[in-house]
Amino acid sequence: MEGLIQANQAPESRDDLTPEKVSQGIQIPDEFKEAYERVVAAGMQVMFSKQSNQAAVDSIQRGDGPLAQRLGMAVAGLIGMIVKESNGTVPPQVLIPAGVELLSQAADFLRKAGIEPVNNKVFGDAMDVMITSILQAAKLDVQKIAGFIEQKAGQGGAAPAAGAQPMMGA
Amino acid sequence: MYIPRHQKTYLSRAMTRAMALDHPIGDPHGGPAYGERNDPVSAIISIGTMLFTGAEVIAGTATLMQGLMFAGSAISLVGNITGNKTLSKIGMITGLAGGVGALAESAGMFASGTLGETFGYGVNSATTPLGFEDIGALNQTPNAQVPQSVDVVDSALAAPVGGQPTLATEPLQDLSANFDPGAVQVVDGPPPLINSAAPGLQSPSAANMPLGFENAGALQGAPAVPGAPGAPAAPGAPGAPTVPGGDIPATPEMVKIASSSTDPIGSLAQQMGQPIDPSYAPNIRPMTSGEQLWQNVKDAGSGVMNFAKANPGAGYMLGSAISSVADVLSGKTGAQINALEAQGELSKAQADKLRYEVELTKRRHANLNAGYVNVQNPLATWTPNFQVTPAAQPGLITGAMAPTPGG
Repeated sequence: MEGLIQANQAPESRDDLTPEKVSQGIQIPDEFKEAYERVVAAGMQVMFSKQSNQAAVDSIQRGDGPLAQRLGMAVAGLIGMIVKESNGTVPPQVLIPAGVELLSQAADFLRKAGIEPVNNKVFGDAMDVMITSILQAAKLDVQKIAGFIEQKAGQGGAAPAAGAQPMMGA
Repeated sequence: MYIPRHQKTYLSRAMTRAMALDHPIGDPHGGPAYGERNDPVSAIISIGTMLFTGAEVIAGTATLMQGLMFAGSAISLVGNITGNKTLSKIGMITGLAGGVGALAESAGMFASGTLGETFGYGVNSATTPLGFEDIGALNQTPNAQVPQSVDVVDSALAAPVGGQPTLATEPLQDLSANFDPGAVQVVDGPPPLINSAAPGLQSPSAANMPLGFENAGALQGAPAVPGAPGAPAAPGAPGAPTVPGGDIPATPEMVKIASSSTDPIGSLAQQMGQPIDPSYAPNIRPMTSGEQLWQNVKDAGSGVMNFAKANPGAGYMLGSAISSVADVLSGKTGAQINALEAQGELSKAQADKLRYEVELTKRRHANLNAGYVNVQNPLATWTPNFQVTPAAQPGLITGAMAPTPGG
């Protein structure tokens, strides 16, 4: 019955984007596997360890803006903290995949623990914020990237779509 | 010898919070009452939240973009389900012919230097972006001058269709093992070298190959010859399919996904070569009781467990944070898990007992300090709720034994 209820809902209002589903889409080459695992494990330590779990939840709950922004910024900040604590030894290649993994874990925790109502829409927006924040830290313009990818995808006679989709909160 | 003039003592969060309820101590312009928290945990969190507000800049833009490619399928999946078009577009980088390499051609996209300087594909990539010599080999023009701004995809498309390309490097031969001639059709040309949907492109071996993703993508460019008979319609062209509900021109891969199933997760999982998880059935977890809430909290750890199961190398790192989870992940049987749970319950009972004894001892000590009679003797504070009459003054026993009127 519950499944039926969710099946009738719009995909973005459901909450069936589990970490397992998201992890399946992350393909890390062997050469970055260890670094990726270390970053994710370090992030999970901060998020779920006894000493800092409450503080991590507080940082998400007490931030400014909508939940998606708070969640995305918190995970981006976590990635930034790991980068800083590692003195730059973390390969940049693993930052975004690790951020996606950590975000899915954080969202899953908030959802299952009943702390915050994180549905698929919130999760997607949070991922948007998180990726944008990380790319901005590298002085990258996510709009240009999205537009260029779209243009390349439509190469061969396709005109690029009119501008990239505005980012949340932008 | 340096002698510190002031020694600071940082308080725990609980102490800080308790002090914040009072008034500023010592510093009239700061301190706990002003929300200043300097305990280690808060310091870590504040570092994390402050870092990406502009204080830190990640070096290596191209390598960061490569990471975007690693997570592209997941990002695309989330974007398609949630309807976030930005994520959908960014996620398309995985299926993009040329991958990150294609982005390298875009001058001015990145603020710092050229992408080739920080390309993460190998030592030679910094000086020889995209391995042009290999592209040249495919073109049978190894000595040709390839301009730095050459479009790699176009270079591949510009290969003489009548000539037989030469595989210049071993990794390419490995990739050619995945070749599926039926997947693409090019008129009067040689069959494409690499299947456009070669799963090996995302495999570690593909990542290690000297040419990098972009070259493989360049080789993939052949199937995308627009207008070729049998080839799929050019994306964005009239009549070409688009992503449902969006204005994104569909790539051939996306068309394939859309035609295979209406279920975005299922079809994407098929594209990724992953078995479809039968537990995909949506599920609502109503919060009906405290017990249900606790069960959900316990379930919240399942994602962590699954991650560590899939990544055993992370198990020991997670162990210090989530020790019981790490135990389970280390491959214990169901009986061992039950034993651990029983052991946990026993420990909890012992802790409760100890806590009770400590409380009892503390109460005893308090009583001794304050004087047992005054504190705990109920008679000491007992107030009689009846009026003692003078006739009863001889005492309770005497009074009770006295003959009552009419008795």
